[in-house]
Amino acid sequence: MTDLAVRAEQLLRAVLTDLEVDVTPGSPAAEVIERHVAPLRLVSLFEEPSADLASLIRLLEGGGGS
Amino acid sequence: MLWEAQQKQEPIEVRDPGDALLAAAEMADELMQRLRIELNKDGKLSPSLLSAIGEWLDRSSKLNKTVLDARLDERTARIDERNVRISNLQAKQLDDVLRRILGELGHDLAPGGPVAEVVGRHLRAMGEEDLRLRSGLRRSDVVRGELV
Repeated sequence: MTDLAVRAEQLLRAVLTDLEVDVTPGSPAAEVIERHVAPLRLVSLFEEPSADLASLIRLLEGGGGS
Repeated sequence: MLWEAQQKQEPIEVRDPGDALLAAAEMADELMQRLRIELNKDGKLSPSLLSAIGEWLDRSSKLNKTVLDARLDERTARIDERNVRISNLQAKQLDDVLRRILGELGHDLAPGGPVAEVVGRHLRAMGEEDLRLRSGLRRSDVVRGELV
């Protein structure tokens, strides 16, 4: 299974590219991605990476939650 | 029995039920072998007694297996439950990060909106890729003859 942080970064880069946002290294968007994704790398050190995509889709379709 | 032993201050060890049953099965096997030796040497044990002991040993072994299997099922269920919990938690973390980043870059992830549609499309593609990779793993594991 793909690492959680790697998965988040891949997803964000793909989505932002589709939204025509510049995500090349050094761009403002790349900096924002790095700042938010970095904490996920710690999560991946301690837990098995297995983010459930079906759960994520449900969260997105439901407008998120806390 | 344990309560009585405690009242008499006898040193009774409280053991894991599986370990206790395993020890009982080993003891029964040893007893059986000794009885066989005695029978061969003196010829004093009756075949019916030997048969009864054999039956008891068989029953004890089955009981032991049942307990150990139940414990294995319980552990497997706990691992599955933990994996589901972690998967859901990580999905939530991923959702939070997506919202924060897209929000900071000025994109609204409202349900049904164009950004949500793009995200959903990429997530489904990732899901399909996961399925494809898992299928590939299973095929290679069959070739290697190993379990995941």
